[in-house]
Amino acid sequence: LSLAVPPKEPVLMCRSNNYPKGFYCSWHLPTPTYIPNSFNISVIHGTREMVCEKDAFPKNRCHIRYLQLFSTVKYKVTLTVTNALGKNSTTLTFDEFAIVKPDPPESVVAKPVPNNPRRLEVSWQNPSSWPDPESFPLKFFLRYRPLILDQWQHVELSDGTSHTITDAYAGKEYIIQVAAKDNDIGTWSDWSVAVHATPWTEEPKHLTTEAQVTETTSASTSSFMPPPTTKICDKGAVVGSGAVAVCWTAGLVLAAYGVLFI
Amino acid sequence: MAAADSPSAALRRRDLCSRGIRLAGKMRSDVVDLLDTYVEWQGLDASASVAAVEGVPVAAAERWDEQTGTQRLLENLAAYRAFRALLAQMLEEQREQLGEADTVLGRALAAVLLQVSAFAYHLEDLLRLESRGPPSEEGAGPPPLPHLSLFERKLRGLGVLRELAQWAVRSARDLRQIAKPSPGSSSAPSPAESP
Repeated sequence: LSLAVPPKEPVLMCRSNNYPKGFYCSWHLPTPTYIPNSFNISVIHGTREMVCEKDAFPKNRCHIRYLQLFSTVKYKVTLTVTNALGKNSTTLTFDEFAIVKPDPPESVVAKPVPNNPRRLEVSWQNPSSWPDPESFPLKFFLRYRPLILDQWQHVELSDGTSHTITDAYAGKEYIIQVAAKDNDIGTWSDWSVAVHATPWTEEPKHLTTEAQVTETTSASTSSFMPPPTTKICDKGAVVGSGAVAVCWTAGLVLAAYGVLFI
Repeated sequence: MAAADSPSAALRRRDLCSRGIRLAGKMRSDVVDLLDTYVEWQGLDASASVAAVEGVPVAAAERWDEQTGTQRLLENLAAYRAFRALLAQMLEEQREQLGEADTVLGRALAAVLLQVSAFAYHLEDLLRLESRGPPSEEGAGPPPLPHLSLFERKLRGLGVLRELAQWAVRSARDLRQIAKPSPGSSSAPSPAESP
């Protein structure tokens, strides 16, 4: 049996994910009251009281249409919660621009680029809730990292809904996310759903230690791949300590393979 | 927008709009920085509320999406001409307050004033392209200032800069609307989309 209590100060949040159409406010109680509560919301812009139309679902949300754009007058939203034992309220005051936060980009896709072991092609779409990307364009922030590392790489993109990553580690699986922001105002969206992709890798070839590697027809552009031909080590061109003679070209190949296995 | 929209005129309009959007973006960024400098120099609270100031063009627009391209250009031009005069006034007050000293605030005000003037000329070019020609500037100066205390003048300046920052955002949006290919004449409204 729980004791009924009056409501604590409600938690209120307002956001525009469909600028310039309007914004929505949503709320909840930090702790339950164990009896029914009613909520009343008022929205004032300057001297004008605006109607916040309650959403059918979720119930603790309502939306307001912008009647003016580019206003410097702040919006004041007051939420009052009442039950049989008491009432409580909270007020938010904000500028039109401050609450603009798009939904994350949608349909993020990352694909390897054939014959390019260090590239990944990423594409995405504007969030479907953003009503007019032509007049109110979004910019994007892309982050990516190989699964084996914690550090993200970041790229900010002022136009377009695609980007080619050109510095991926060959053969490593990557995790990629994208965020969006109005070009001029507001804050960044949450990160999109993460996608995974691994850059293209050449089919593994059997390399002999003596004979020259047969030239392949596929062109390789990565410095991390062995060159098409490998010279036989010339003792006259030894670099390094005397115990194990490794010629310069073979040394480069070994170093490249070493990095691949980090 | 123009009744007879030749390909070269359409290209020129798009080019002018693109440059205008970049100008507006730079201007907005500089005005935001100027706002920070201004509140610091004037000892104001950045979140101070400022009532609507007489003579300052208000960026707020109802039914913004329904405006024609020409309406947008004319409203923008009127606004920036007014800001040009208001900023010149603020610069003059600044010099009276601090003498001829070259201050960070004075330089920042002068730089923004230059950008506002450049933007106004740019809008005039766009209007000429629409075969409209810019309206004359007779009587376009700011209204004579009532006698204001120093503090009231500082608040007024804050209101001017805030509204200018808002206008810079609106102008970029307006120019994007104007840059959209339009089938009709300049008097036809752009497709009405409910806000």
